Amino acid sequence: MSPTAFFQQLVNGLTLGGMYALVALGYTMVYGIIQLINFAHGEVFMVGAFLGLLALSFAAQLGLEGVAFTLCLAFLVSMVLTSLVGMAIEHVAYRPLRQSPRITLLLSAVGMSIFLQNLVMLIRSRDLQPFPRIITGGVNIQGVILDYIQILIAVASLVLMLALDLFVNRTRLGQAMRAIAQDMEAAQMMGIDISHVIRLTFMVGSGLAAAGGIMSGLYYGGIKFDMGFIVGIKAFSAAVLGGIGSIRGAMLGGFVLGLCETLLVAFLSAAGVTEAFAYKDVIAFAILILVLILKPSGLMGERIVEKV
Amino acid sequence: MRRYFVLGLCFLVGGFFCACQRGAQEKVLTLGAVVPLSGPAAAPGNEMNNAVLLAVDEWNAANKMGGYRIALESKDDASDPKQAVSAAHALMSDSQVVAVVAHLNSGCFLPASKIYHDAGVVAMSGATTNPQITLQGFPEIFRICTTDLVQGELTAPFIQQLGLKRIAIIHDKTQYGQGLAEVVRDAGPRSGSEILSFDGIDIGDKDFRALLTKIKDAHPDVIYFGGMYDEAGLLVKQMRDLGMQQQFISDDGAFGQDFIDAGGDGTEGAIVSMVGAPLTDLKKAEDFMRKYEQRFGVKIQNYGPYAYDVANILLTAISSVIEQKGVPDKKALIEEARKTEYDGVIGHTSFDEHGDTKNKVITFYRVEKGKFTPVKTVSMNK
Amino acid sequence: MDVIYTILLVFCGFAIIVIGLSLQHVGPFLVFLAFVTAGAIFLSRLGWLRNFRQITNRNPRSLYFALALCIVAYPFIFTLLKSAYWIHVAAIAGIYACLALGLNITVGFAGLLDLGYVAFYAIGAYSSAIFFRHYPDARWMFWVILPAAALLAGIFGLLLGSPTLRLRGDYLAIVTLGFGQIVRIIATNWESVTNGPKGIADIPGPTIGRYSFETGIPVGSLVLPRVANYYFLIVLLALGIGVAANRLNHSRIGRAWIAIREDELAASCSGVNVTAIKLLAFAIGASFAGIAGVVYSSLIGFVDPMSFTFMESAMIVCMVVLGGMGSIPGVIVGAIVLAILPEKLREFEQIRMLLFGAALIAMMAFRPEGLIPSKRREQELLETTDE
Repeated sequence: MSPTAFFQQLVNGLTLGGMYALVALGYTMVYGIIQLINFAHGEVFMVGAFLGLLALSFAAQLGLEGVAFTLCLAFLVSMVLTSLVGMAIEHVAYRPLRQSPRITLLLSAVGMSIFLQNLVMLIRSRDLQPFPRIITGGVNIQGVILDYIQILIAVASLVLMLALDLFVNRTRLGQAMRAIAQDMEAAQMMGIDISHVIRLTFMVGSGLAAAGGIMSGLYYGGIKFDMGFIVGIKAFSAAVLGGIGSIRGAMLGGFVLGLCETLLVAFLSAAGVTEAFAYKDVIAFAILILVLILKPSGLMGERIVEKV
Repeated sequence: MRRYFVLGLCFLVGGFFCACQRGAQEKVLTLGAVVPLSGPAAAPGNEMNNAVLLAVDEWNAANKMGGYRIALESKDDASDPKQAVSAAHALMSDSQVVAVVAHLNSGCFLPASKIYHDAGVVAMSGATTNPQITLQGFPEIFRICTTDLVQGELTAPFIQQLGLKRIAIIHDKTQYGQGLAEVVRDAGPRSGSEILSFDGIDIGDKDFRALLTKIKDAHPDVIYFGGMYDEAGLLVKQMRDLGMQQQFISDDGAFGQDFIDAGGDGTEGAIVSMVGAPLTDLKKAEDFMRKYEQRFGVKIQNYGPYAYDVANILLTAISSVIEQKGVPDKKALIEEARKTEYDGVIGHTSFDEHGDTKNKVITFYRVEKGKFTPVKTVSMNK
Repeated sequence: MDVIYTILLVFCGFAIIVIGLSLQHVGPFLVFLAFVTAGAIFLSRLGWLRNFRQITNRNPRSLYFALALCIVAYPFIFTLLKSAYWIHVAAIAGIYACLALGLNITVGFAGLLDLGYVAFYAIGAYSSAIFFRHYPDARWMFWVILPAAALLAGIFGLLLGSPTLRLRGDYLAIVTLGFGQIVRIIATNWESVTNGPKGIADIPGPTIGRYSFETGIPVGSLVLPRVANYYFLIVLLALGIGVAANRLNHSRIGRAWIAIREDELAASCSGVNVTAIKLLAFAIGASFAGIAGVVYSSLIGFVDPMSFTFMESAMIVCMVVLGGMGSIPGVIVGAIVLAILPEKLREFEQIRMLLFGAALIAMMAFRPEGLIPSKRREQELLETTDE
């Protein structure tokens, strides 16, 4: 592998990692609070991308101009609408079941995931939807191409993560979230409105996933109704890798997974493993299984002690 | 309580009347069609179904079927082998089904062909390109499109003629895409090309940059992709993003507006192959495309003309069987279909001993200003 | 009196099913379905159905007798109606019933959610396909492969289970999902063995001595179509699996499973070897899927990786949930209903999965115990909501 190729793969991996991290945050936040794997979260990412596309084409119809303006508008509209979708999901599929056995909740989440996927497919289309490429071009540094969109993804995901970190650690609502994560009953007794905080968590997580969805659309130039499934599983793997429940862990896990998928595969391929690229998706699953077996608390998580 | 019974009784009696009436009214023969009406290949599948519908309506309007009315029974295989076998069973259970316009996917036609064979019913496909299908020795199985073998064998010398030597091959790990890519891989060295790499991608994956970066590092002249339009479009787009200006060549799976929509500006200059001669060269084809657009309000994308020809070939054969025997005899139809000499929308069709078309022609198209322009038609005909 | 009553009622149900299946068009079928549903609700309001349950509990033999008669009569009726199709669909439904019974052991009995169950199904199907790819003439070997594939799938169940079963329930769901994907990816890429995405075609049917499953069954002047062989085979297998599952459920192991499902810590304190018992559930469930896979590969004659996607797993989970987790008659009915409905409602193919998703959510919210709940489960769920 030439140095140019190495740095190019590094750029590819970091961009991919940024997107994984944004989605992983949603998993980690929800899990941290109500110990539920929000199976439909990958679909929220997809819905976010489609709502972004809707906003962009609407802006184009209204004749709005200016790349920065339309882009901000699309992000804003999609993130707000998707957080409402997240709220609706919580309300319909999870809230009524909060007292039920965990398997019931998980099955409901699986049902929600199937439902959302097919809903978008029926409303929109089964085919790949071209996403307007409003940011094109890039800089060429000694043969390594760094697209402007890649820079945007890196910057935007870092800003969003930073904002989330501040929110969770510095605001009263964030404090409430952490309190519920530690002990739901005690938090309730302290006068925290649990339902309200859970709803808010879903909204924040969904908004972040929507941002990831739009970025994915801008980056790849196309979105599809089934795009959330595989990203969802990978982002979940990233969350587990970082230590589920830990927000900084999810960010780290996302980037590590993104880099593994590009650099590791590229190294293997350069080392003569001809089928390295064919087995790319196995890496995420293998990481997931290995982490769960060897170090279930992940890179940055705390040890979970089963409460009796 | 009594009300329910009366209701039920009325309903049952009504149902029987409906069932009986269908048989008594007139002489009917049924043409079956099994294509994906849902699932990942629903778009080309529906186009095929519409084209068959068009053909059947034309025949019914012309009233040349010896007093028979032709009914079309469309079944959905959803591109899934299991559902394809179910659908084939469903059609074969209906004794009125005389012949079948069969499947878009080779993976569906392969297991279903056995059921058509067991029932002794002719099944003819316009789109399945896996060579194995006609090599099973079933006399009932025909197809009018060329196989992957032909397309791949003809693609390798074409690349050579473009003056491009170093080929990097990508495929989508499907029966169709990988099968085709393998033929190109094997045929390439014979026409003097060098195969640099052979890699699979996952359908549904959107990030091909890691793979393309690796390929870029090997400095190929041309990238060949065996697969469908969505992935082809994303690939070509990401190639251009990575500053790869190499020639992109793909197959009939990428022949269609969807490829250009998915790939955007990046597709400009890309080349795709499609089975058969260019439709614009044939007068009949223009006619058909106009009629199709009039009736369904959309343009023909890819396999409609093939399905239309399949339906017409089958109906022509059925009508001559009826002429000879008075009834649509299934056994005689096999013989009649084998003798086909038909000039249709896609050109001339006749069958070899396996049931494959003798007209082994493919055309290469270049994307110019967002439209497919024929570049070269090559053939394997002796 | 009870006997006659039971037999009559079962026959009526059977007649309704046959009429429903032979209605060719969607419109009449939907009207018929609505009518039958209304009738069933009406009957249950009258208390007849509860009555039926009591009588069959008192005298189960007449019920079994009537059911057996219907199952045997089924292919004959559809041969007379010249519809091999519905026999084929019934065979497919039987395969799903085996799968649902297997998954019911892991999900329903032991409470371990397995979202990658098709992996074991794929292992069964591929082991038969790969064998016959190399030895297409040794067709009697089917009878050896059947238990061997069950064993193989069971071993894979152990291999997957032994490291992961220490995990909490919902982690397990995702890990099994990942395992399902890995098996599919390997089947796609390990070409020298699995023939990759092109799949393996021409898998022959089994033979018994001179008798081949590839020919029809002559009975008097009637010739049952080829698929009837598979129909009877799969009915026997499903029956065997159902009986085995029932026996297990009422054994020490079954009680241990339920103990684990309810409270793992308490179970382990009471001396249940939690890991071993969980592994057993996993392995037995997997081996049933292996059996189903072998029969599937011979019935369809073609195996490719695309037949074993996550959606297939989700479908089997739906069958178990719809019928009632932990209830053996429930999951059989769930499998049959979900295998036949899509065939009947092809016109609604597009929205099929949408409805499944919605149904899954609705079931969890309103009737988590399923259509035909197991007695034990029903009580447990009632208790939980009372808390």
